[in-house]
Amino acid sequence: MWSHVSRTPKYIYNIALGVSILLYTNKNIFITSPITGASMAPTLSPHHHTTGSYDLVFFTRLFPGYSARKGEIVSFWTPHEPEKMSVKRIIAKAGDTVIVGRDGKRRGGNGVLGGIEGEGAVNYFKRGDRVSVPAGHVWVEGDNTENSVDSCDYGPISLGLVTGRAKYIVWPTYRIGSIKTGVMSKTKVIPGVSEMPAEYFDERNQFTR
Amino acid sequence: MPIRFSPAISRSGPLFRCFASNATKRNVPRAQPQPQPKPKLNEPSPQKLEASNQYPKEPWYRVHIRIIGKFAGFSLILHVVSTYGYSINLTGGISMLPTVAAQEEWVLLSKYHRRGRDIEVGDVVSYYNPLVVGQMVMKRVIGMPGDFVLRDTPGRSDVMVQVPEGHFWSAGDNQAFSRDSRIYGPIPLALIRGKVIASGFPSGGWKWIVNTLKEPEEFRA
Amino acid sequence: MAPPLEPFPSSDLPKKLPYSATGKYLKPQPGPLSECKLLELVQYNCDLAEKDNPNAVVICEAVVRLFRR
Repeated sequence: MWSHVSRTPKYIYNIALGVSILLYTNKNIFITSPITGASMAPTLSPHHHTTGSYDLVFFTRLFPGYSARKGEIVSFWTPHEPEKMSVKRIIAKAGDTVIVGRDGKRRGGNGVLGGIEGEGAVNYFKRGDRVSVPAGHVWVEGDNTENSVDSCDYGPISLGLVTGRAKYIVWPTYRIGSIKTGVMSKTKVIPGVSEMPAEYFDERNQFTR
Repeated sequence: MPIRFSPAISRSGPLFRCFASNATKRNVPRAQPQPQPKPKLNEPSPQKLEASNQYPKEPWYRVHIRIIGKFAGFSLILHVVSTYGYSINLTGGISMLPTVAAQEEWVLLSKYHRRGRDIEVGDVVSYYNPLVVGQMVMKRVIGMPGDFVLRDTPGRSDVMVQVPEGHFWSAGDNQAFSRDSRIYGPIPLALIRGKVIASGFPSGGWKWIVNTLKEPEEFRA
Repeated sequence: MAPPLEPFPSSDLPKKLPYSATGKYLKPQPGPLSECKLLELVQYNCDLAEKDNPNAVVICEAVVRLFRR
């Protein structure tokens, strides 16, 4: 358009456009990524811990925070490691009360799982704790919850961390198909209505951003 | 076929120029006088026909599509730059009052610092409100993972907490009117969009936003 | 949101100090608090001078936070 003005070669614009299309698509529209680890077995990568085979999964990344629903498998940035993404299933939405199904495992003293007792101990959830999920948060668990690091360990996660929703398995060929939604875990969830903290309402009880 | 000379050679003497003119004359076939057809009444003139042959005919909407496509391409590149490089955002709210005005002030974000990369205590960051999907908040970082911070407003109580791994503790500069970690607790570093490096108005008045954590000027017990 | 935090009065801080965010016993140990560098961060309490007049002057009083590093 402005070729007579700028002396930048056209191929630089084309490379920038290509890279931008790729980055934009993978960040905002869809991405296919491999699932490693045993936490989502048997739904995703059921034999990863024995044979090392894994599934390639198609994630939609269109408005993930707004459209994530209970029972869906989502990918999100883990709250304890900011540069790591994880894939788990949403068990409870904001406002629900969760009865934690297993003890939380925290990396405690000298890297031992389970945390330590005493003065330096970090709080973690115990089996039977009642946790109410705050506004804008969800409770996520792996389908293989005994072998997964999930909300039982780090608590409810903010929807702002959610980056995508798993839709289809695209590889290997014999596993191609859409991913079933729906809660399969035995974790008990008491439904409820989410409420914002009182500080978000002015004196006329109007919600203020 | 005409022979091309570089300017240096053609400047060297009249002989070459003469040769060049001969060569071009020899190679170019002599133009034959064309019989001019009589112009008819309801036909376009030969000049018009020639013009339409020189520039290939293009439907009018093609031009529009080309301009829109170029515009979309440039805005896509700009969007990616503002996602991974720098972005300028409009702010509002009284929670950062003496540092950033309550309304109509713009801020420059460095997206290199997204997800808390190289963030230090005292930096101003922009992050997503953990309670409200998509709402962006701008506050100062008070504690990084492992730090011990006051849970409530300074002076009100002396209850402290340790910031858990992967989280940070935030506080607005206007402590009287700020909804920050005092309400929703520690915030995952992964929610950080970027570090605020400058602020100002479209009309001017741009200034750097600096880390205000410094050595005390006087010793206060 | 992390698991529930364990609030403690500031007088207990020396007992908590040797542990990292994951509960690990730090090696090497940080020195006593009084030997750490003292830093300050000034924040404010800002409000309108007159409650109901949006054009009133904004008055800010300083709130100082002290840090040890």
